[in-house]
Amino acid sequence: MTERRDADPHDLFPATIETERLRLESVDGAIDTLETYEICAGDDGIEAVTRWMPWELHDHPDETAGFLTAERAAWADGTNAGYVVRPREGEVGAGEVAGFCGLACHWELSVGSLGLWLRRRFWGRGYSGERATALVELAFDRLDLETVVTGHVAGNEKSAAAIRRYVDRLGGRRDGVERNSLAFPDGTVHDEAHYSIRQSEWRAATDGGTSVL
Amino acid sequence: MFPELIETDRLRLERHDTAVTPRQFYAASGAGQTDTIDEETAFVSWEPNPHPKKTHDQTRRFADQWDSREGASYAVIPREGEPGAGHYAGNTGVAFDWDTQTATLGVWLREPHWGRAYSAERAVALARLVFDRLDLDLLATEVIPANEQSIRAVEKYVDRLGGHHEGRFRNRIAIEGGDVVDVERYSVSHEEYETTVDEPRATFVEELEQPTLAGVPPAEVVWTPEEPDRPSTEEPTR
Repeated sequence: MTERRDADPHDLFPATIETERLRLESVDGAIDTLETYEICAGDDGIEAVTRWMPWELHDHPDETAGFLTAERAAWADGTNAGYVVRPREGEVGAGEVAGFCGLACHWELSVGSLGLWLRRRFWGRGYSGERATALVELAFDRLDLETVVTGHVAGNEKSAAAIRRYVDRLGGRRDGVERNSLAFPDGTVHDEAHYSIRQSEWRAATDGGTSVL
Repeated sequence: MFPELIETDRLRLERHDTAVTPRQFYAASGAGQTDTIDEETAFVSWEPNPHPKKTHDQTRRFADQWDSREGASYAVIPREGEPGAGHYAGNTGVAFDWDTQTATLGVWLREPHWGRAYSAERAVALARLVFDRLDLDLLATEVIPANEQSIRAVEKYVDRLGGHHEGRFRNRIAIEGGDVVDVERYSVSHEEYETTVDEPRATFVEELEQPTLAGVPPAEVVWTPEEPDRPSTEEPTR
């Protein structure tokens, strides 16, 4: 992971992270509310995304503004390193918003929790694993958290496959399925599969750690 | 919403904030108040209460949770015929997450009352509360992995209720005092409960007319059960 040259060494989270094919830009930076609204309200295939997410299509731009405000507040509080995912030069759709990801930091538990959603046209490119490698390194190498966790709604097989692959590669494991873990805004309740990686497991699996940073 | 008294074969569960005064609660759960409090709290998420203000505040919290339907906390009191009948044997609570239709159980039993399968007896009674009365979807409980005794007890009653071990979830609880621990999580669904249990023996009484707590044994008295310890007397109900 490469930081921008103008990165402020005082920042808890890096403002920009570059991986081989992606640029993760802080939610604290310039994000176009209306562009984000277009995606959250009616992007092609967005219902395939929200089907597995605890949020629904945005009804108006103010909802999107509220989402971005909350993301920025969590960034400022040091409780969530939220990023816009953009494919880099050479990728199809370079520079566009491909989705959002984050590392939610539960400092009292020494846990970092990965989250991601990608627009459907950016599925199937292995972006999930690439961003996970970078954010897991952020969690362990820079933030010295003890455990990184992630999960998916039971039945979301695409996410399950992606998560299994990178969790295995990074030394973690599948912990189990927590029943009735998530209540969605439409009132439905969902089970959630949990995965976790300990810092020690990550170091062992990656021969001392990854070096995208 | 919640009955103030639940009677099982051998136990009375009485609404905690009514049945137990903060001073009685402190005498049983305060740091250094009994010889066994450290052992009893080795695997729970709280530490021995440092001063009576803490049990006072906790009692008020129990009352607030009861009123807001977030939680129901009961004192566990052995009935006539049991060793230590009428005394405060610990407490048990149900935390409600209405959005996810989930009730999560917790329990703390005082050492003189260990080994009598009281935990299972109150769990089955609370399952009846959670499913038959409150119509929730899921009953869950979490145990710290090192607490082998509780794991054995929980696996037994969860199995009896038709549920299962969900997994070991890492870094899930911050213990008072700073440690972070994993949990083994177990759950029973409403459907599993319906197909495995018929008529658990538990009687609900809406209002606690008169608390029956005889007292808390003073710290300096070594209090031995009148009967020898024996394994669970419960009959499988399936």
